[in-house]
Amino acid sequence: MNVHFYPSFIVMFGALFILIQLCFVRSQFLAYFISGISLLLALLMQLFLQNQTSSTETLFTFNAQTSFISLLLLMIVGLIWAQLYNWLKTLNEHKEEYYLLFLLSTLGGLIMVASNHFSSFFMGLELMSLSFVGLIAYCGHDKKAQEAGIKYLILSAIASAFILMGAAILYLQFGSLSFTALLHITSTQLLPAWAILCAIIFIFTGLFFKLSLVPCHLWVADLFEGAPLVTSAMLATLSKLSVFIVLWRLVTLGNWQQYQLIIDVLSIVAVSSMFIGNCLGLLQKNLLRLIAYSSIAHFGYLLIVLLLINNHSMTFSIQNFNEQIMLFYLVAYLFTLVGVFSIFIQIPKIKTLDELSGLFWQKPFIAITLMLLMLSLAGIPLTLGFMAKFYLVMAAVSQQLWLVLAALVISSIIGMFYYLRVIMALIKTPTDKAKFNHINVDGNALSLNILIIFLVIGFGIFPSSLSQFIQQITG
Amino acid sequence: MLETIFIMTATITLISALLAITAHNVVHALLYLVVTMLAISLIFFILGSSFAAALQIIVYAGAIMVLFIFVTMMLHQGEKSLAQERHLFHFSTSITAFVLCSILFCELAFILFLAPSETLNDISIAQLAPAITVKQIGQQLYGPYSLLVVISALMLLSALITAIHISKNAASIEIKTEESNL
Repeated sequence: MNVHFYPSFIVMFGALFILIQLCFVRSQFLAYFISGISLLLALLMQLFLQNQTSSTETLFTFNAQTSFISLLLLMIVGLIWAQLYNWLKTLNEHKEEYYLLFLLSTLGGLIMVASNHFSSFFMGLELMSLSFVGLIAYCGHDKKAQEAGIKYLILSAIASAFILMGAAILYLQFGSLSFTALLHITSTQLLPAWAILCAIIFIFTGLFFKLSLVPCHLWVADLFEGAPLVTSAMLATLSKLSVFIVLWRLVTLGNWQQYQLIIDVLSIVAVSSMFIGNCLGLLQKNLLRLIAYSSIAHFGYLLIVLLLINNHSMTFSIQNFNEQIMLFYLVAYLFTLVGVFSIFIQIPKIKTLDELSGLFWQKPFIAITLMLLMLSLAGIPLTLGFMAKFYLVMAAVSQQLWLVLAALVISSIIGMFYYLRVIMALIKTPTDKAKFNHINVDGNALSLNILIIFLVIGFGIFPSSLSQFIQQITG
Repeated sequence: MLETIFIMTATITLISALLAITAHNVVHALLYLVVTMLAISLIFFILGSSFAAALQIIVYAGAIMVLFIFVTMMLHQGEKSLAQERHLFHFSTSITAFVLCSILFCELAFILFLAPSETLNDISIAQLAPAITVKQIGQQLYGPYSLLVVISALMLLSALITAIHISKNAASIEIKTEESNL
């Protein structure tokens, strides 16, 4: 058995242990403990695997990049897990199943990140989205959660159908479902070019659904609002990270930039996601919907990375640089987003901007953390988000993607408005002094906030340590 | 010859799938769905993968019918619903499904008995060359693709837990509301 499978196996055994535990005793603490131990072990194992030699099998590929991404994924899931116990206590449900589904969706993400074959990618995607349906509709009595669950179930089924159709057409051309087979230019062109383009667009449609990029973004705000908070955090980070990695791998391995139409589609989707995401966020009062719209815009920015891989005029070193930018941006955005969600979990009753007003004067530490995170999302200097955006702009300049670059700059300025609105709301003079009394700051939350500030500001001021690490991986 | 049969089968698949979506009555929709499955299995037969075709019939047509029976058993509410069902059943509503099914049957009979020998030879040369046996499928599934079996097992597990959790939830809430009503 390949060593690289161990982290996934540990997560799987964690889930199965919780299942066995459920047969004998229902104890939330035990489930929390088991899931934590398995995540920690998987994380340590992944760290250890960082220096292992890469290996490729039929279904999976393991190299420095995939293990770094798996590490990132496990770290994010671990940060979300740290908040899980206190949050679940407030729910009026059985709590142990949540840990089980949580671990299973993590496993789905891990599978997708390392997949090298359409079948393993699809199975991972389905494992993740089926678990997500359970996680979203976990509070089944809540009307909004039910609606969100049904929406996600149907839309993810449609997205999967699109992906399957695309994969089937590609299979017709290449005779193999392996991602590496996409590289071979077969001598006998069985299908006309438009059929392959169709297949690629089918696959894009499915993946854009999961990434909530613009033509397929309508579900995301309802879902973030309706789903339980931790589930929204998972949806925004885990699901999008693993789907984006698959998208990136497909585009690079298949060399899909050779088709002009695909480049056009990608740039149109990127530009419209930036604008529409940010414009929808402008006057939004609900915090979760605001984050949902900002995530549309951020993945629009990230699509620029796919446009950069232009094989006509580039050397190998530039390809590495693009990969570094993508990884840096993903690290920056996902850590910031996890921070934002963990703040939201600490203030569970506050749903809108009005309710947030004056938090700074009552709970200054939470408010300061949230402010810094918003600044990082907006891309203000000295934060991690700024460095990520800076690298992205630098790369876009070097490849002379002026149109997309202009869209990025303008939509960032539009986006600044609503991030600053959150900060304005935070420092408003409070009307009612007692309204934040229900927020209790315990040591756990405090230490997590300190960790988040350390990550966002520390890497923002000294980005070289992170970028050198990423350079080492891609080099 | 084979192409004509394929086109007819594909048309039947599409029409019955469309009808399954548009039918108002659940029972009718399910019947159309069964026709779709049968047509798809005939396509598999034409492609030469008899195992997939058999699975299609056993799993889909069979499982869907079983599910259908379960659902009707659960929703069965005595005389009133029986009368309603009797009212719903007309030969005229089932005629489309019947016609589509009979076309499929005729095609199958044609392939089996009436097809001229040269077309059958064509089939054997063009289609049946790498006939995939059950053994080969099993070897693949427990060889290089063994992890897929594990993943699909986990997928079913998560779907099962989700279904149980949500349905249990609804049941307990109902009991609670009944208690509050009392």
